[in-house]
Amino acid sequence: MRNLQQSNFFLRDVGMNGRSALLLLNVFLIILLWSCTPALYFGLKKEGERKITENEIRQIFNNSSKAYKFKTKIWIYGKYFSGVLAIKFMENNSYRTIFMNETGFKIFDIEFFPDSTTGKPDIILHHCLESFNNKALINTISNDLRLLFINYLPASANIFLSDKTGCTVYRFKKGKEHCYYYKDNSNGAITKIEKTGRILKKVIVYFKNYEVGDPHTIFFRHKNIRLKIELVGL
Amino acid sequence: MKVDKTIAMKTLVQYFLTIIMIYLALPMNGQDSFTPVTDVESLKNKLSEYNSRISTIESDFEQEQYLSVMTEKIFTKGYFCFKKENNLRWEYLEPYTYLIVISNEKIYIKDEEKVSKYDIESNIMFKEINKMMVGMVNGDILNNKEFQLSYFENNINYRVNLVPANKEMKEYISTIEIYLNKKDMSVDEIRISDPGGDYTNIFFKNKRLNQPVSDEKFTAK
Repeated sequence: MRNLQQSNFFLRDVGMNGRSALLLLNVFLIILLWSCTPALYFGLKKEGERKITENEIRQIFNNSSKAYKFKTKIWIYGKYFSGVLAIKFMENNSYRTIFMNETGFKIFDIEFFPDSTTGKPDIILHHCLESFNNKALINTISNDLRLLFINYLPASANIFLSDKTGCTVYRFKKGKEHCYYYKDNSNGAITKIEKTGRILKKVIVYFKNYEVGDPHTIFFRHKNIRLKIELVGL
Repeated sequence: MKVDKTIAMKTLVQYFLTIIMIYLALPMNGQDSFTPVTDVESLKNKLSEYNSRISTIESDFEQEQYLSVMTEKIFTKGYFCFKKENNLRWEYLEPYTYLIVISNEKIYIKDEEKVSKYDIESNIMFKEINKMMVGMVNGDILNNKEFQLSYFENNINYRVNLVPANKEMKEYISTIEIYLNKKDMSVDEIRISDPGGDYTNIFFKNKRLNQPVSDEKFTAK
């Protein structure tokens, strides 16, 4: 309130009345919110909530016996890391992800489990170099990678149709967050994932150049922190 | 006639079985059956003699990385080059490009188009990398007090086992095994194992010793 009064005072000083000042403030707020990429989905037609049938959303890592390997680049707050990320689905329904530098030294080894309802940890950090072992960083990277594990998604979703792209969009609720999975109806491939908070988009994941059902390039872009991750298939 | 055929068939089967058994037995007499070196001084002298006559080494390398939780190994290929005293080029060419150059107390790392340059002395990690990478090639690693050394041999190779003594390095490496070719004492293979039991094997192929190597090789190009 005090700030508003201060700004009104400032605007009076430059020769504007209260109503114009309020109008200007509203316009400013709209521009501000718009520039923050609000999580509003104008182009989506809601079809309703229902259970997802088996194989309705194709796994991103389609071949459960294959170890997926990606040349990986991470840009975080001006720092740059690169290496190789290996992802493998395990027999105990977990995913093992190992990140190592190009010469082969392991940086981290994380095992993912389905979202826990019993309070059990949903990841195990098997190994992490001391210089990389920052809780916030490991959590952020783990949350990003977890988005890729389709079989860990909740059983039901809100379904939307996108007018613009012709995609089917599945919205899953996870705690206070929503995850939007965009499926290209022509080939069943996931083309984009968006994770949102209450209002704003947090992370967008793009999938490019599918080869024999597997994405060749996966790109994570964070909206609220300076973090980008690029995975290119090897 | 029928009996002869049966005997012939039996002989043939025995012949192939013998070949298979010899083939299976070969690794027992070769790579795998190492015994401790009894005359370590003689081995050190041979190495020192090798190091004094080597001025340059060029080689291709093949690297295979074994991760126990993955079903597949990760294979990479590249080019390696060393020039006395302290110049080294370690370049991955397949399936990605990545270059490490050590020269004039600097380390250059080129990842695709991005080049980073570091002073070896400014960073303890680079100092260790330099000591290890160059030391493995010129033999200095055998005098490095940060490792406990043991020596083994078979018909083809000497194997030098290095176990890091300091805590920081133990986080990355449990052992380094260097396989030296008995014919010319050059390095045939290096195996680096980590504390989790995973390992990386590097095989050196097409070795060229003491051939002219231009200084251009030791720039990040």
